[in-house]
Amino acid sequence: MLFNSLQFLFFFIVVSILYYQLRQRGRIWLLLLASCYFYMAFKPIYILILFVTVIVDYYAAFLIDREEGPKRKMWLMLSLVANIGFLAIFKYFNFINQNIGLSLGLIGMENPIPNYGLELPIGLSFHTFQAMSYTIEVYRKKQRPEKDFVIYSLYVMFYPQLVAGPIERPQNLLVQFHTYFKYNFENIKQGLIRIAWGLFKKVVIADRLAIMVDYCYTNPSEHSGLTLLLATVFYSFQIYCDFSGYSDIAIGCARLMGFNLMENFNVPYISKSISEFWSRWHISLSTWFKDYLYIPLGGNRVGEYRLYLNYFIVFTISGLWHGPSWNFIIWGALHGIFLIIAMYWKKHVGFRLPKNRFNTVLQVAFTFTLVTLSWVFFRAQGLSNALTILTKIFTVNEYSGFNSPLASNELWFSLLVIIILMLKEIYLPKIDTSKTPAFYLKFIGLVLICYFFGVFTSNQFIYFQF
Amino acid sequence: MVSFLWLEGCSTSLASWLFEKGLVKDDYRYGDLYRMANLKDFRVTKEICSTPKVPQNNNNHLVLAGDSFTEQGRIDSSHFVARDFSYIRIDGQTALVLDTSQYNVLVLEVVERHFRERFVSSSWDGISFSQQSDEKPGWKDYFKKVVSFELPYSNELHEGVLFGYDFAMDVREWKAALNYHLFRRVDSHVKLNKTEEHLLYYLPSEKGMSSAFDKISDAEIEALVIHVNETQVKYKSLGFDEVILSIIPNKTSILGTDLGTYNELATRIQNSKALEMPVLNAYSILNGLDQKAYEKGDTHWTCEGKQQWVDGLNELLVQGVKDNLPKP
Repeated sequence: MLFNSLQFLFFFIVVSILYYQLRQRGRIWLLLLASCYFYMAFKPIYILILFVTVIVDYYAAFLIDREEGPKRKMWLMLSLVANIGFLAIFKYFNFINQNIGLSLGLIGMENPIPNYGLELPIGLSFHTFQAMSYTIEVYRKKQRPEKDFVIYSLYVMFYPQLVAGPIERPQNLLVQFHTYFKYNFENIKQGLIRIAWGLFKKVVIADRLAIMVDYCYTNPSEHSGLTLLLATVFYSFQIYCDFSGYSDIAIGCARLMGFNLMENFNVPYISKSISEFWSRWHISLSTWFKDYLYIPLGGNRVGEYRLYLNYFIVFTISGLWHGPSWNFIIWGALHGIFLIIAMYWKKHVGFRLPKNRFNTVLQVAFTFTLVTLSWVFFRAQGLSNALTILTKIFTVNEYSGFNSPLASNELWFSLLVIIILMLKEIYLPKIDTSKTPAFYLKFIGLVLICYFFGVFTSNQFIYFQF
Repeated sequence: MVSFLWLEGCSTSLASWLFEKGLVKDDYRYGDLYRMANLKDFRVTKEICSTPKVPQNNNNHLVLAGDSFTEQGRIDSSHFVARDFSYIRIDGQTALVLDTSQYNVLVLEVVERHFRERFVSSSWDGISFSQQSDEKPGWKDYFKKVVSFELPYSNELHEGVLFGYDFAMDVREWKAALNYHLFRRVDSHVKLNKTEEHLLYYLPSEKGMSSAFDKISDAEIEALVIHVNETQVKYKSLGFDEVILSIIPNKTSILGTDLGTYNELATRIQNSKALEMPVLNAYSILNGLDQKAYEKGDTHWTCEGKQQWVDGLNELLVQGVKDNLPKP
């Protein structure tokens, strides 16, 4: 069920009320059953995949913990293969198979293996990564195996972050499931205001900008460079508001019950470099890749060119994580290349702009431009469309004419809410809820704004598809 | 209480019970388009139609393969000069048994926006006459059922049950008015014509198979007619005495023609010299009624539009289609 749906509203109210009526053990069971229901609302049969990964990793952790040396590694590998295996089958099989077919076609051969039409289980990439994080941390002796099967199951399936993160670490989440959180009105207020702000980003900003983006990106050849440029900038904010809005709602839902999930975004569009961008965007995923791929590859304790290769590998795989398509791979690889160029420049050229406000603005603008242009690959339907869009954006002759499905008032309104968004996130990162009457005003105000200005199409959250 | 309100979205039985008891209101009472758009000017209660009595002591069996224009609730057996009446969905598959001692007439009623998708690639085959198999469902059937099982919940049902009250509709109107006056935006599933007098369904204004304005080549019209003719031949050979076509024009095709150049799909099919089956000309009926043809806040016809169509069909049944093929 979507966070911005009527079904979720009732689900959330019922679960939250019941949560505070129960003692610790009852709460754990409630949350687990609620999480099962939450996941099954998408497609019930896929809960079996979750059950299998939970059982495999639960027992794998004990086997890893009691062994040393090669056998310890073997159990870890088995656990990782099981998790990655599900990803490979459900998410990447058809893509790999199609490319094998294309390659065989080049030498005049046919691929005998057909593609199959299994739907991608929702949140697969997220909960498998969260599960892998657990067994890896046990392997590294940074986490004891969780003895309580129900609590471990809840760690994998906790509904606020089950389908689109944040990808949690066991050290943060498991200990909280062992903690009894007394009713605390401050948690309720902070949770609710965070949910309301997340909803605002999703329905007032993201889904409104989506109208323009979908209109332009469906048939880019019909639109001018100017129209496509605006649509691309809008997409930068659409995907940010969509994904960070989801994270806000997830964090708010958890907070309301006393749990603290990790922050997933930190105003990424004020980054002065691509490196800084990745410390502010989808933080849970970038730290996951840093800890579990980049560091095992050697991190920065390797030679210069090996370091560049490591970055390229990590970011390309990060692109692939997002989806089985060359567009995503190119998007990831582009970010890898941007980082490599930045590192090379720093090491061999060394020129840096003097630190002042103007240059900061310049750096932020430059970074935002690189990020926005790379989003074209992320959003476009196919490589050919992506190249069409970029060609039109970079061709001066293509700038005549502008068409938009949004009236001019709404375009200005969109700009206004983007400005409000940026000002709020930079200068008011946390909405004060200490004074209860003011909290009620803010919360009700946000909810009313969401209702009256929200765009309620059945737009799924963008990151659900990953 | 909250759980009960949640349950209302999960159970059609509960929703029906609440409706029967008068505890919830029909959220379609002002029309399907109003329900989506919530624009105050189109909040007009749909009229309740009366049904004139017609003689039914004959040997006619009318099979009406139709859509929402002729579904139960709008049209039933009491409307027709036929002893037996069967309604089937034109977009589904139905098994039927024909009594060949009766005069069996099949009417294909299809709204213009879905006509091309029904007939573009082949003839229509929505009726089967095969015997029901005695075979018990196998493990593959059970597996398919398990895989495709979904938890019972309908957002549309839930919204309808919770927000069908007049006060809720008032609030929705405020939102719709705010978005319309500030941004000139209406719900993505509706469209206003240029004079803003008529509320229309969005689909015929979009490009594609359902469009009322995309150009349709003569070659495609010919191909569609061929498939329609094949449908007639097929079902006549399977026991029907006559097969009649009736294309219901989109509301857009009658009241929204200022939005583009109408491609005249309905009339081009009906008037095609190659068409070999009789036609119940719904376009003439509804075009003649103009603004009185369709409900103000709905995609469907008014009582008057519907009754004239029913009368036209009854005429065909009474006179015998064979003797009175309507001339284009």
